[in-house]
Amino acid sequence: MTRDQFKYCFDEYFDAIRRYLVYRGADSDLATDITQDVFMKLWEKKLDYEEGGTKSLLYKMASDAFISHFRKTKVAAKYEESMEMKIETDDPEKQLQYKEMESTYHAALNELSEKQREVFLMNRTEEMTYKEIAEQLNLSVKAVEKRMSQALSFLRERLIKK
Amino acid sequence: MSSKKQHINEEHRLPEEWEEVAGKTQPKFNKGKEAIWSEMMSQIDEQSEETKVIQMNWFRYAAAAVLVLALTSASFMRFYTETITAPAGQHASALLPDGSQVELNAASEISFHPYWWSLDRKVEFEGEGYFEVEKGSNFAVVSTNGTTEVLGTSFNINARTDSYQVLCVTGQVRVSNAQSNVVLNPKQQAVSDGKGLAKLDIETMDEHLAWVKNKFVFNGVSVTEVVAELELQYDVKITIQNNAIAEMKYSGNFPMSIPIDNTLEIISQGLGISFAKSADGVYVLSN
Repeated sequence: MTRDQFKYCFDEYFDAIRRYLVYRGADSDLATDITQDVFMKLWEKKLDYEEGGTKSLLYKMASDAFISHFRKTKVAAKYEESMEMKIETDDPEKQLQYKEMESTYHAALNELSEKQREVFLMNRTEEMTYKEIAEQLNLSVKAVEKRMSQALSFLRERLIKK
Repeated sequence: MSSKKQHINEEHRLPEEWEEVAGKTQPKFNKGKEAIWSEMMSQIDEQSEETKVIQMNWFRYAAAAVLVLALTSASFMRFYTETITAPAGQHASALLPDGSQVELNAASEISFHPYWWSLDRKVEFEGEGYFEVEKGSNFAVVSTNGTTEVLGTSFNINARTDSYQVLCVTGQVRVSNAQSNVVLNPKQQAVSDGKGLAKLDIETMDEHLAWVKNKFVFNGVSVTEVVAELELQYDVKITIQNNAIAEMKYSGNFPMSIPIDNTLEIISQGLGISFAKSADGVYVLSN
């Protein structure tokens, strides 16, 4: 592909892929590195640009790189470090409350299985429908529903304690 | 601010405050997209620079390789040596690239350069060999103690240790050593004698050429000489018990194909002495 096509791919997909890696469990720096690597590798492969095909390829390469990285270093991601919450209030009491909830939220996310967390975050943070998630991850919609259901029952248990 | 979002499945909702937390939480990154794009572009530019350099160098390397190849093949052709050896106890034949032939007597060796042959017919030789040389350019046989040059002839060269003897059978042969050089016609022999080369006329060449036909021919030669020949041809060790026996003269002829024990039998009977085998390949001649 030409440099222009490559720039197009980069502009379209870089963010989505980087965020996807965080949802799976990479911390933000690792997600950045892997995504950058993946794009360089795509360039070096010297393939033609394909509508849809190239996007799938990028996701696959990112997923493979993620798996291979975690085969070597089994370090669990800490969600506090990779995510931030927009706290839009001046009230210090509310701010404190939000901070506490944020902490609890991340702790709970950390404990979800990779498969459950992945679909939950893609739905809530990336705002993808179950159908879109199913396509992205090569799953059936039913499978996505099942994972979501499991994630939710765990989160309800962890978050709604008070 | 949290509007009902279509992607959320009603059965899978958390309490509102938690949905709010979830909605407001985003991954955060330290490196911006633009910075990353610049980095990638630099890397890509560097890579294409490297490719250009590699391509330029390729031409230089290829030219150098062709040169080295040409030089090594010339030297390979000139110096590549083929060696044919007849160990003690065996004869051997060497066929040279132009069809010239050399029959090698026991304990002899010849070397030549097959790929250089058409430009220079030269062999290195030690031992004894019968040469049949095709007509052509100069043919040289180089040994430690002398050199023989011919132009299409047959001759016998005996170049063992300290002695050098050449018998011309057909054609014409020039023999030289450090001190002198002579030209031989058929039935003439050059022999090194410490001072140079002596030229002898030979009555019968049979004795000298018998080995080529795998025969022993002894004409009144000392037992010492007979024993030396037997040791060479059979690759055995024969000890002569006393000087009296050593100086006895022997004449006889028989094929080389018969076993050593039989040969010693024949010779001992002829001389009225006896022989004994002390070990495999080790014999003693005694009264």
